[in-house]
Amino acid sequence: MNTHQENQDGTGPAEDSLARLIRMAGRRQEPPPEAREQVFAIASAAWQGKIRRRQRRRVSYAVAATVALVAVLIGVLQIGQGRYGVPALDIAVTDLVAGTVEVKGTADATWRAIQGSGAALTEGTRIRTAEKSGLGLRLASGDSFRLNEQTELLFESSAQIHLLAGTVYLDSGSDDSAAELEIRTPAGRVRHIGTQFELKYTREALRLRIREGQVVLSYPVGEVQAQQGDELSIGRDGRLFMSTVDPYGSEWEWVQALAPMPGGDRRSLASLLNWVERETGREVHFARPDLEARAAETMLHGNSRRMVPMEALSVMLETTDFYYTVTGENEILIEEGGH
Amino acid sequence: MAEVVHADKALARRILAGDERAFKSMFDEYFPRLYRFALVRLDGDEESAREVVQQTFCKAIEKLDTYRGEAALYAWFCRICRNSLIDYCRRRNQEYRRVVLIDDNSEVQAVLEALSAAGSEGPEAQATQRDVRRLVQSVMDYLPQHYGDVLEWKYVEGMTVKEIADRTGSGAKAVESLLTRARGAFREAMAVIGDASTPSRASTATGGIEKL
Repeated sequence: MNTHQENQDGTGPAEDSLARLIRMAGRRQEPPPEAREQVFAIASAAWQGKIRRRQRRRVSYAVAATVALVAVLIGVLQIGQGRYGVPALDIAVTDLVAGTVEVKGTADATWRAIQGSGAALTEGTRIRTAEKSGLGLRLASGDSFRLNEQTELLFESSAQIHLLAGTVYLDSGSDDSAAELEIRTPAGRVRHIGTQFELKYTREALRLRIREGQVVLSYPVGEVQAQQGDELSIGRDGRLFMSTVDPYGSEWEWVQALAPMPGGDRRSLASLLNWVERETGREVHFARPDLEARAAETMLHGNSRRMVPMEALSVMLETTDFYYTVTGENEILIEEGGH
Repeated sequence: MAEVVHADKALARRILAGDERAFKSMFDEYFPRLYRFALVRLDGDEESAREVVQQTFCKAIEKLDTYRGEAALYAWFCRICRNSLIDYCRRRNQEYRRVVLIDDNSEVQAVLEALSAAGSEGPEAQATQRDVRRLVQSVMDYLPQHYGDVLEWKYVEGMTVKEIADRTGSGAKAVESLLTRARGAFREAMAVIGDASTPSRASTATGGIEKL
């Protein structure tokens, strides 16, 4: 470690002044790892999008050339034109926008606000929610995906989301045919196996709460498969902590506020109860066994107003002979009569 | 220079062909340098620097098939970064700090003189030394990455040739040769600034500094 010694080995005064200049400038500043991670995620998405577009264009040219050749061979002088461009893939559609939500595409210079439902989001899009805001999305796979306030993420592709900061929730439905989706953060990656879960990432920690199903969490020192009711946390030091979480309660209120309403003008009371059960984490019980069969036969008539699950239950039961009582912490009891 | 450009054209081709290793190596090499490039021009605002560099990468990747190798790929990225900085500042109604770190001849002279005034603690001397630091670091970033790294290891971290050889997994002779080339490239870049003190070459030199 002796530069002086090496200077004496024949490098001379010119070397001295150069060494002094560089030494005085000191070590160059390293960018913060979070900045590298974020820019890498977005640059990778831009690069992958570019590669896909080039490949599609190449395929389109090949198809176009083949079509042209066939056209000549069969003597057709005019064939369909102008459909070679393939649009970017939509990977999500907005379902509920609450407060201020902004998006930014890979080619956009600025953020732009989105409002209302039905806006399509393409790969490479970044989304951020402001304070006291939230966003409910329907992914191309049909899964419900929600962003809590002060959350920012990047849709890298239909199978990969990069959570930059904040809290998200995924409900992939109750069947086993869940599409593969990975959510990445600098602290770890989450892959679900048919589930409802919440993932929160801040600079200090990553927190994963599983409400239903199973999730695989990969983090720098290993991989863990977590089950319904597990809560996992990874701190800045990379240590993993496990505890439990109830599937119901005030912790899940933000999720319910962004829940998609069950579809269709006419639906059965049973399907409404399934939805309420799934969104609130509470268990639905019937006072008598025959009420369950009657709930399946009772059709509800459309109410397009957006409501949180318990409000929807109250409003919709008003039109039937049923009523409900919340018993204990997590049970909804359905009974007959009484209006 | 021709060799660098030739290698850069090959790198751009590999990135466009979907070679993930090429993309990652380009990103790892350019990101810290572009980040510092933007940071110094945004008065140390880290969030804005991240935003600008992100925009730079997105734009550069989008335009990469137009890169013809007229300049080194990093210089091409710097040009895009500079335009992104101007756009960013315009959008935020902020004045773009045209970072000609030392932008006229008398100041160059003053800066060089300041180097011999080590230990000066007055605000002016400190400001000048800060400018020198920025300038030297910009020059280091502008050099090929392995040149900047080896100079930093040798003169800032004080590593011996043997230690550098161990770190890079190469032989002592190769490190010595690399150091010689790196010193030469550094001197050449700094000479552009030194030349600014000659009035007849002032405009060329200022242009050279701006390129940094």
